Amino acid sequence: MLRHSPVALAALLVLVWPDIGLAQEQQAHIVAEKQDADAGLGAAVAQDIEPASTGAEEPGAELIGTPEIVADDPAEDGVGLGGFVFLEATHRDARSTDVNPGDLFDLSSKTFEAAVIVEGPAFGFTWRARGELIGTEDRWPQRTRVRLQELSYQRRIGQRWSVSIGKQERSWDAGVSFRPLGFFRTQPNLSDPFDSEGRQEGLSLISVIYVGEAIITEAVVSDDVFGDIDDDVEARQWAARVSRQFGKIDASLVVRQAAGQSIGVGGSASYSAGAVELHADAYVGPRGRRRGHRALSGSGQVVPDDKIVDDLFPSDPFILDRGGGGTVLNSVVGITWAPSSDLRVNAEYIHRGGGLSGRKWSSYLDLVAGHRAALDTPSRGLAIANLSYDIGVLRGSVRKDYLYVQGSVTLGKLSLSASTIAGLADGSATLIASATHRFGQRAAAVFSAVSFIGSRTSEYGLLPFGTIVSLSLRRSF
Amino acid sequence: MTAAKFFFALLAIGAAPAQAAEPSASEIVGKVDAFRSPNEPNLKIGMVLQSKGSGASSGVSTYTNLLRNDVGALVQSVDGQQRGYKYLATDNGYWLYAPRTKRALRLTPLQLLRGQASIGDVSRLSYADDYTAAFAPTPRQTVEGKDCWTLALRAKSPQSTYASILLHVNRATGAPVRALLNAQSGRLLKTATFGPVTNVSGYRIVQSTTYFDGVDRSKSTTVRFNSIAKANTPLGLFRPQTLSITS
Repeated sequence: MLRHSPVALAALLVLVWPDIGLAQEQQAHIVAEKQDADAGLGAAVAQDIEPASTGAEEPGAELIGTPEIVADDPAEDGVGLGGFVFLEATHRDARSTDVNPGDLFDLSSKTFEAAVIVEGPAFGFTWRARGELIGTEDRWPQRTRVRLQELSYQRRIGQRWSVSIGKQERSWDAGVSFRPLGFFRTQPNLSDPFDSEGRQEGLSLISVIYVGEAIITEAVVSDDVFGDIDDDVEARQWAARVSRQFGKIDASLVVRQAAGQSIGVGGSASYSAGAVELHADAYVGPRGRRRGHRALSGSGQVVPDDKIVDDLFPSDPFILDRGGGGTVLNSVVGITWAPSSDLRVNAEYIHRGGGLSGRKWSSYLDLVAGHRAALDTPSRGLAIANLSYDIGVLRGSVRKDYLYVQGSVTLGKLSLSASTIAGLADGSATLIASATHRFGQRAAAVFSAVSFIGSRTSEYGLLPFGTIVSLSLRRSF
Repeated sequence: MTAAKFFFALLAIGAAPAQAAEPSASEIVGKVDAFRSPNEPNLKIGMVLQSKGSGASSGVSTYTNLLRNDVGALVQSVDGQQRGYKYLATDNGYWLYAPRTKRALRLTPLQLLRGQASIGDVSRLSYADDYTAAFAPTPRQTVEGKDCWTLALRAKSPQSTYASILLHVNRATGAPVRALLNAQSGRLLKTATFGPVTNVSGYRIVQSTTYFDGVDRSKSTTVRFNSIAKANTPLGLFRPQTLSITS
């Protein structure tokens, strides 16, 4: 069934996009996934929350009698099963940029995904699994995968202690678009920050929480027990958080140490007053481990030009930068305005201390220029390979400072959302718009469009895609 | 003083104590609140919501409602599609925690919990805290065959669920009979009818309240308290940051 249903969906969607090329380059897929991850804020929340009542004029009919209900007390440790089916068709429209001259990689693509997410509690355990089929109109399925995203056991001990063990997510952040304190979960997918598509996974960890009258304390130890975490994620770590409420301000202090690194400190604060909420997260710590281009790695050191020449054609320019010295600040400061349940506006300033500085960005542009120039030499093959790595550098937001603005409005069964993340260094931006139409309480269709704008040498202007549009259908069970 | 004037003066003096015996609007609301929720500082209420005529929202859902009268309410869905969802209501605002998102989202009190029942309907159980009360222009009416006081309640807190309420209270018992729940514009959002006062876990309260849609009266949700127990829920659990902890 699963094999045929997405194909049927694909046939339907081909009517909408009749003349679209296919993905051909593995590196391009990496970038494409990245662009999905960076793109736009959907109206996912609308699926989790029923809309506010609308009501009208004075009722005229006679009141109906109170129905009789017979039910037992809640069974709090029962077994439940739920989830949803997710179908998505995505079209990426490639464009020629310095990293993809003349659309060298032929990156336009039309891909399809069919997934089922199953989750539920069972005797104190919480679990969630995602099975997915991904392919193109020529090859279906191209990839099949089943992931156990969460499996944990949580237990309250008395009124004040809580212990949980297993693969799970812990959320210590207040921000929407960036998680400086996201040690136990992945960074948000800006096209789906509330994870309505069920893609996020947790880490294997043990958490102990003490809930006091005023102070809440949590200690967490985590590791990559199942060996399925990307090697640029610092899974082996410990962290502790102490939080307290001061009137309308909720504040927390965090300390954390990843394996082989020094201790970092951070905190989070939020303030609520009526329709307005102010929030901030910050973390100062070691630069941290990350996968990056050899020519751009190092602890704040700009790679000399001659080194760039040496590294022009490495067989594998990507290395795991283990951080080394240096301390960086990651932070997000934002405001949310929600005057009604149908309208929400969020704005945030993001600072990524580990992002590329202006000088490093110039080095990157030089690297790209060198590879591009080599296309007309006998080393064309190597140049193409390295340009594909250069595209890989653009995965995720790579500079230091960004502004994120998002607004959403609900009009009956229709939810509209628009958002942008703009780089403050070069003014380039990702623009996202989405429309969600709900069908009853369980089904929804989401259309989203993403566009990347900016100058030829800017971060988002360099991306080899002009627009990405997608249509998805979701039905919960 | 003529005999007639003397007679009316006596009548006025005699009538004064009778008027003083008539409770004030605030006192009536206080008694109504006592029928809506026990006057305990820390409670755990097991409740069931049954919805009709609301499509996929129809059916029975079970919730646990943790109430602290110095903070607010923490409502947790314990079955069905919304199992694990939590709704936090405090004077600082309303939040929803969905297990998949792992974060608390701000809501408004009118956001629907299930069917026609809003979050505020099950978390704000004290009219006295949220509304100023006065007798309506027609202070006595017969509603559902009962002689009732009619009170006009106006929101005094930004966290109040409704802008105004027209509340009918049984004069004989002081129990609420019906409430018309209005938006800021004055339009009717919902009508609530209150069931009889019964004994629930040793407390005499209104066990069931039914909320009818203001437009389509075939849509209704009944909130029924099945169990009430004193609790010792820590203050720290009534915060958006701790909603991920099992209650």
